[in-house]
Amino acid sequence: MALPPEPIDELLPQAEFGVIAEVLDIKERGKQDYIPTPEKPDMVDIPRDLPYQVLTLQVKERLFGALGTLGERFDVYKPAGDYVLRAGVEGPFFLVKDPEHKQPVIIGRYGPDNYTMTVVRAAIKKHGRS
Amino acid sequence: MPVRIQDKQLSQVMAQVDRQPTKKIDDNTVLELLAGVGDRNADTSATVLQRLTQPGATRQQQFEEAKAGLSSKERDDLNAILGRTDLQWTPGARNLIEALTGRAQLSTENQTGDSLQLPEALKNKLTALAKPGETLEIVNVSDNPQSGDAANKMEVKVDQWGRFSGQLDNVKEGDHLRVRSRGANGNVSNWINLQAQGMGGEDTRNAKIKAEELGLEVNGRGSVDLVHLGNGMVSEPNAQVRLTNQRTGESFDFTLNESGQFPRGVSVKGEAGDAFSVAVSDGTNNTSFREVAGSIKVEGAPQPKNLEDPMPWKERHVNADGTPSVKSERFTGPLFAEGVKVDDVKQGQLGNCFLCAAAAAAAHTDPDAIKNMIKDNGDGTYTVTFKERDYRGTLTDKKITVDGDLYVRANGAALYGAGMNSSSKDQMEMWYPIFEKAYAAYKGSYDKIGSGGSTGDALTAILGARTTYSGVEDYNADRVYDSLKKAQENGWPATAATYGKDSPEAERYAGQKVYPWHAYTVMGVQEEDGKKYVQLRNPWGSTEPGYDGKDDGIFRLELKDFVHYYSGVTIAQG
Repeated sequence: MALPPEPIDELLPQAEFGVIAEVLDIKERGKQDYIPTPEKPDMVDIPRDLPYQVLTLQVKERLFGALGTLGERFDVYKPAGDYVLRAGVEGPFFLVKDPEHKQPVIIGRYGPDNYTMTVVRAAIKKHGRS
Repeated sequence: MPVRIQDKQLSQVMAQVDRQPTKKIDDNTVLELLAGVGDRNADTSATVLQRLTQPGATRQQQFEEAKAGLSSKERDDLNAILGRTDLQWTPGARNLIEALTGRAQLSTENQTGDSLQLPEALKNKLTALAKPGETLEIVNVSDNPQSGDAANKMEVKVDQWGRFSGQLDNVKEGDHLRVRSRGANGNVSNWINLQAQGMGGEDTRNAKIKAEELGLEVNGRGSVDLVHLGNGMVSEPNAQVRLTNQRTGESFDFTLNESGQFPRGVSVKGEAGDAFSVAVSDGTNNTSFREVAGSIKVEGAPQPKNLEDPMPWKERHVNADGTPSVKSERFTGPLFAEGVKVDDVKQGQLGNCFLCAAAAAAAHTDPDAIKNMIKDNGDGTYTVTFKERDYRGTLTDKKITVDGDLYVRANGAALYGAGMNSSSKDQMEMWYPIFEKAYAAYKGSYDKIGSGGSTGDALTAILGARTTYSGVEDYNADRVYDSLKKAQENGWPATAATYGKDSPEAERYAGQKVYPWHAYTVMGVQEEDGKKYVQLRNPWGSTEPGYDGKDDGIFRLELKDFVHYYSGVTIAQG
């Protein structure tokens, strides 16, 4: 589902931690759910979930919250949804702790692809996160 | 009362008059009396009558002919006839006899009935009206329904014998005239209506109407009352008037009364802000009411209409009990602000990128088509006309009317599609969210359009155009580029779709700011330094690969990258 990302002013207050990090490895991935067959070749945006992933991140910068120091590596959980990640991708990650998962969970419809760094830094300042 | 007439000829003529119920001495009868007076010696009354009725004989000649044979006995007879109170005279006939008896000068001017032919009953009314010393006011209400205009009005003085004459210009066949008398004390009689006949030609002048003196006022009962803002005639007596509500198309017909005014208590279906056209017919002309004479607007601001909203997207915005979990609020911004532009379209929290990309593509290549398809009804509602193509390829219009209520986020901003200035309820440009809402209503709900769709179908609904889809592969990259170039040259809208229905397909988009399973608007193609580029727009109105200084969703990709990220293009031809 290629919906626009949630407005950052709605997402940022939900986040416990913010880091700029690189995906080092995909440690685990879920199974692809049922894939709908489009009725017409030019049809897009038909609901389907891309599978969950467990990723290893390496921190490049801590943005807010007490998680991640420069160079630190830790695993995170990317829920099933509208995107998947691959090794080498770098960007801002907003994370929360979730008792259902051992790892911190990435929030935001497109994870690190939700917003540009300019938008992220301006929102952190606006919301007083550090 | 009949009196004894000594002259045999005069006695015979009067015996004929007395046998008539009306006892009328008109312009023909008086010539028989003159023949009876003019006979002398060898000239019998028959030969004198022959000369009196010759074509071209003037009143003066007729008078002289009779006077030549007038005896004192005949003079007494004529005085006796003039003295009778039971006779009906035309002014011209009476003047001839009065002149012969020395009571009056012979009037050689045309008398009533000479140029304007009137039915007998009306002539009698007019004769009765013309009292000596009074003034007659005569108004041509077909020329102008009101008497204030000197060009259509005449005043003549009635002399001591009840005669009058004058000339009213611009009277045409079938015209309606009104006559009344005014005494020296200012008292006026009732108006008498006359219709001009025998003026020559056909009745081709329709009634006129003073539409500017009519008003419509809301009466609080779901209708509007007609009010006459002036106090004169609105149009000709008995004219037929049609009022048509321009909003609903409903027509209401009325017949004016003898005074050329509407009956009391006229009301028609309408509401504040409605405009009514006014058409009038005299019963001969404009009987179809095609010619419109003016219009009347119902005073007051239109009451905003509230129509049922299409249900929101089930997956995210509907409660378990089937009610919306999001509220809607009224947006009142301009339908179009600074024209129609591609960046007016901003996708909201609905899975309908196909619709947004198609609408933006049409806005980019054919902004007039967007303007023409969405109409502001002026009452808080809008009508959007979609094109529907049947299996034979025949196009029909599908009109959908929606109001300005839009589902909103917690912060009050539009939840689904938005336009420019999207943070303001009274300034957001409305055409895209209204278009999207109407498309949802057309298809049944936001849910029906919020789970993906075909850009080709959307382009057909907007433009009625046929669309073609081409898959994009490495081997046909140049051919796809050429088709996009042709579309650009012809002003055809185009969209492009990304891969991403599954994980292997979607991985290529990670970190690229190009999104999987998404539709984009193709803005055009360019060739620079031997490299080919495709310019695209993300219908979110933001978020793009690279950074060109503006986060407006518009970016370009070299053709080899376009081929890597995009699975196909859709072009609407013509």
